[in-house]
Amino acid sequence: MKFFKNKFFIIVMSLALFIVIFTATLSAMGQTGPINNTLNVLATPFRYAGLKIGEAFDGFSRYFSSIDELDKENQSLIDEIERLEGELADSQAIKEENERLREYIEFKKTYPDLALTEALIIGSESENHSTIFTLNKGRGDGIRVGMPVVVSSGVVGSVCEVGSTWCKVRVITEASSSIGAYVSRSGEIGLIEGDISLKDTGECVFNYLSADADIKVGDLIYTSGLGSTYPRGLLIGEVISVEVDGYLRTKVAYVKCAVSFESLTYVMIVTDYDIYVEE
Amino acid sequence: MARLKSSEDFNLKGAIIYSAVFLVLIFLLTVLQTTCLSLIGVTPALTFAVVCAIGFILGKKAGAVAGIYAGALMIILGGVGASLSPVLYAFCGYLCGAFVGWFLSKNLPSFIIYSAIAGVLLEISTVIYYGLFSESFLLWQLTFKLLIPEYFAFLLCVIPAYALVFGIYTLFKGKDKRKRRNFN
Repeated sequence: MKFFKNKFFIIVMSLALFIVIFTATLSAMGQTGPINNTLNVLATPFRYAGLKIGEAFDGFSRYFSSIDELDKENQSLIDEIERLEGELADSQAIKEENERLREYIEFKKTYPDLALTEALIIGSESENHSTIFTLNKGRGDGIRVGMPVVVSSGVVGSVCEVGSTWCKVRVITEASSSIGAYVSRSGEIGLIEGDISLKDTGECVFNYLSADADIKVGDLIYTSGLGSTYPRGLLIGEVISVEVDGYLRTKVAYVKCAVSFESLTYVMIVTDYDIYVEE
Repeated sequence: MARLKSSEDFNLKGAIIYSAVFLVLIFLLTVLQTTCLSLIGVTPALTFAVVCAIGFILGKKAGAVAGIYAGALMIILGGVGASLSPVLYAFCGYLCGAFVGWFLSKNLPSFIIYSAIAGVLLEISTVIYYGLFSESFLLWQLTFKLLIPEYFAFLLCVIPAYALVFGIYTLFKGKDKRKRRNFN
């Protein structure tokens, strides 16, 4: 073409070729020319500014480009949190079970003559006049009507109805419930009975105490074992008030049950025990 | 975009002004390109696009001179020991000016077409460079990982480069109303 024969074009390309060869030769010899040095010195502040601008843009673009990564990381962390929460719940359940079993062992050590069957409360019927628990153990597990039901902190009640795989327990605060009991400090005996007016307070009444019975607030009340329903020595509760009936010449004590019925999950059914005989 | 008038009507003072402005501009763009500019994972040849625009708008001689200067700067500031940049840049700057009016008119779409062709030449020179200096040269790998991304990154710079050169050309042209002489 005509412009390839142009004198200016030939000069320019020759000059360009010379620059290529010259710079390549200098580079091969490991040297830099003064022009190279000067230009690089001149470029330094601009490079620094360019670098800062580049960093700013890089950070800006990274903010948007990293959204997908952050989303994935967030999802991964959510999954991890769910997994850890599950493990925590399992761990909590194991801890509770461990505590319960420890209490069971302690209780068993305290009352070695009692044959115990652990049961889970699977239902609770609480009406105006009664509170009845349904347990997951029944006739097939050797459960019979009248068997005492306890926890490590004290007496819960007794079995009032039995099915093949379930049974129902009437708690000691029920009006129809009565337990032979004694005051641990003085040995005074009487009868713990439920009272419909006290049911919601978790209290029961200690009746049939003589007018001069030695009983006072703070005394602990245990099962006496008389009457063959409950074994002797199970904690019922603590005396919170004592009243004297002047007309009948008796004392009446109000007892706060040792067991908190609202928070029960597991109980123990006493399937066999040595019947107490008063000497 | 308005059609440009012939570039063969500059006087000496205008030529000096344009030279000074474009020398500084190319210097700054080369620093920018070799320091921080990165699009779609590769560094676009912004300086090369400006050289093509100078050749296209100001004429083939201006394009060739700008090409030599930009090519030399790419070697010096880019830190590459050996490169065909001065030859390629001068050649393409010259061709962009020489072909104006031959096949296509002097407007932005024509410049995009010229630049696309010049970009192909740039990539060919890259292949030659890698063929000469790279020990593990794999053409298909080079094509997909470097040439194609670099080519599209270059095309992204074409319109900004044209706007930049055209803006400077328009800015200084308005201050030069005196008798004009042939610059080419």
